[in-house]
Amino acid sequence: MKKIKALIAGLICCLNFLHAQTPASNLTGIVTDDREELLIGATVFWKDTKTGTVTDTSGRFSLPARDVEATLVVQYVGHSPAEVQVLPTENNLWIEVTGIARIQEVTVSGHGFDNHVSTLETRNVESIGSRELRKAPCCNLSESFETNGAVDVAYANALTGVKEIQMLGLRGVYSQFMVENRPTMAGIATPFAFEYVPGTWLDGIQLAKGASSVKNGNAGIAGQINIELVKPHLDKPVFVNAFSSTEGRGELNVHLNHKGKGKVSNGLLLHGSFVENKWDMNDDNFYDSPSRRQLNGLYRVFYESPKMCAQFNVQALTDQREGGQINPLEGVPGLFGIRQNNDRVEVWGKVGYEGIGGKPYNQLGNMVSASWHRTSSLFGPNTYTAEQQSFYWQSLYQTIIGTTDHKIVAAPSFQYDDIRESVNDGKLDRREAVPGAMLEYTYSRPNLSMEMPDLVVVLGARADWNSRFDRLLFTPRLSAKYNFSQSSIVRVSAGRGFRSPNLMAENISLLASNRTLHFAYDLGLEEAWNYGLNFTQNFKIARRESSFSIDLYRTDFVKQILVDVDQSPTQVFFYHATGPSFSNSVLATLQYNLLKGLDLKLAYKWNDARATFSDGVLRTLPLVARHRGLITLDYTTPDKNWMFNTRVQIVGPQRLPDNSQVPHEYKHDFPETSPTFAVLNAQVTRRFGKKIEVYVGGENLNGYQQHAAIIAANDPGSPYFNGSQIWAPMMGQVAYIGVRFAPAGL
Amino acid sequence: MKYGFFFSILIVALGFQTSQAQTDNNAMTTKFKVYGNCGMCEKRIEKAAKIEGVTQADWDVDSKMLTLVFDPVKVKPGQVHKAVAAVGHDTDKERADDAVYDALHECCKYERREVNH
Repeated sequence: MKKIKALIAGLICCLNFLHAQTPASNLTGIVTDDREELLIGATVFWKDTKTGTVTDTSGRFSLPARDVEATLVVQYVGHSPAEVQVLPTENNLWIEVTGIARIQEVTVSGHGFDNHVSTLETRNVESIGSRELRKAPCCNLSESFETNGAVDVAYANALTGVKEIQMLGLRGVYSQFMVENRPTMAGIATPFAFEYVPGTWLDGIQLAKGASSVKNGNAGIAGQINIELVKPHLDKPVFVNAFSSTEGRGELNVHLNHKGKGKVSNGLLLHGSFVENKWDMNDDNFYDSPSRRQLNGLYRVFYESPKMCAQFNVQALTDQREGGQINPLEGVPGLFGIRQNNDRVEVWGKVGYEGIGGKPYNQLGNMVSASWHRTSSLFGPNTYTAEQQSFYWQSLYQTIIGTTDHKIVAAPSFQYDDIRESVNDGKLDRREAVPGAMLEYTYSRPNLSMEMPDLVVVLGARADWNSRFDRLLFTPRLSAKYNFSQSSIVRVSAGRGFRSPNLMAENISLLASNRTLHFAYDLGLEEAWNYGLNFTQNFKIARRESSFSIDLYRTDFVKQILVDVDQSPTQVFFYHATGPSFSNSVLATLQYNLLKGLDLKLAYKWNDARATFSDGVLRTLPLVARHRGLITLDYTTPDKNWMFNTRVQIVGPQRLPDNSQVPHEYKHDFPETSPTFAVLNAQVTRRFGKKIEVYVGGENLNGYQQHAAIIAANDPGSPYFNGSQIWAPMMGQVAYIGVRFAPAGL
Repeated sequence: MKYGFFFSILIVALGFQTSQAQTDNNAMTTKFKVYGNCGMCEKRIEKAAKIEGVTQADWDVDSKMLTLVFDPVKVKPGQVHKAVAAVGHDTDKERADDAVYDALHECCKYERREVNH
């Protein structure tokens, strides 16, 4: 009897034990909607079976469990079915289904405005996303601002085909250029920076207006332009883009990316382009645009592990241009030819750590970059050669004080530039070492009802020592935002900025003329204060999304170097402004989602840029339009297979440099003030399946052209010869076609 | 006495069962997508998800699914969505504050759903 009892006891215990070990024979759980309300009568079944069960009055279900991983499907009327991967060890599930109405809301507003100013961000930053970049051909960065109202792009001169930008009424050199938060392409590369980033490499562009963060130096008087490049673990594994236009232009981009199974991903981005045309549409015996050839490649390696991430990049490029006068003139020997050759190699790397000391908010980042750039140009009888070596290092530490309401960033940095430059016989060699450090404190005041901070104040300061000018520079900056609500925000910014001038490189367009250059003795750093105010409001008109934004900026120069082209048509004088020098800028933008997929944008900009010249007179700067307008209309079909984009740019009168002393037979119909004109561009994009996309479009469809682009084109040897006064497009209508292809899906 | 032995075993056996039931009773499992990119994000997401009431949080970088084991009396999944978004990672229900997303390490920045705001 005892033996049997023991056996039975053992069996009971054993059975119990077994019961506890094997998975429950039933899988149970509850189903709720996205508001966590229990759903009665929701259908629950295993994906590969037909039979299932239904949730009871407490939202509970119970059905036979599986002994392998399987997919459970949950359905409820008016909601999108949910699929859950269930492991055999899992039980007592909580499953949420999302309402279809809410999905539509997310999808429709997920469309968003592609070029938007956030109502959450502290600084006034306009983000241009990859979808926005597809609205125009955007062959390279200089062409990626066509749909944007804040940045204006124009040809710098009639001969080299290089473009220059303008921001807040100020020349592009007053904006700091950065690639992934790393200052680059400064010094002799400045005039070409935007041509060296192929459009397909761009993942996004951030335009920070006015006084921005001091993290990356004390430059950036008008703002900062930061570009994000595609990354190997996020980009398509294979991507090819081919482009051709009636301008005689051809481009080919190839991306090859490998996302490693382990921790390493790498990618190779290749670009080749050429322009070959022998046109002279305005019949002035000069090629409308020079022949160009560029080869550009970037290799990226990314490594990441739970504790740190690192990247290493190498870029190499070569760019050649050739153009100028077409035929020699009777009795005049020689040709005013143009030649520009650039070679560049840049290497950079970053290493980042997070969670130092066990706290997630402690971050440490390091970046190092080095570049070599060589340029040599020929402008008729003028030669310009330069070589630059640059090095940059920055270490950035981020942490909080107490709570996340108080963030602090500290970053020491070092910048070194060695430039050897010569124009004809004059040498402009210089070396500049700038060690510096910055500190930035951010206060965020949480607002529980808004579920985000409603007041954020950023106070930054940096100190740099500039070896070239032997000066200690102190740069304070302030940014603040206040949210009236989640859709209404006001931002202010104020701060100082400095600029180390590279006069020859930045004004190389003046060599496309026979002007003699005169530099004053005391030319030092430029210095300015920038003050800005932005108000952005999101609202609905007839229940459709709309957004209104207004920017007011004032830049006050303490020291500005003026390029005086008015005093004499055969000379250029570089000197510091002798009195007040400033730029006021107002930009108003209205965006409206008219119908599903149809977006309208209206932008108006008012610029007032004036300086006191050597004669003591406060005048407006030449070639800055006081009024500018932009209208864009974009439509994407619901299935996203078709995209139609149109834009009209309206440019108001611009004061031209004083040409009153130029003999009439040279200046033809060069006006004193350029007329108002408009330029119309349009593009159609068609996607075939998931892998191929074709885009066709036209630029300057209305064919507005600046007929007389070169003064004294018929006598390039005269001192009046000048190809640097461009105020309108030089090419007439241009049509183009391109294709994008990605085997793994676009 | 003979029955005593039998009963005691039974009580132990029952006790075994009920104690098992008690540890299982409250805990529930749920899964949802958390957008993120790398190994560094995994630690950040799992740490942020372990709020009061959550006993286990597991994020898979390939499927991007976060599996939670939690006590529904103490916490609801919606709160975990918010906790994870607060450190910079979007979910399908909650969107991280732009400023927090921007502060993420570069290699952690994932492609976000574009939302009008």
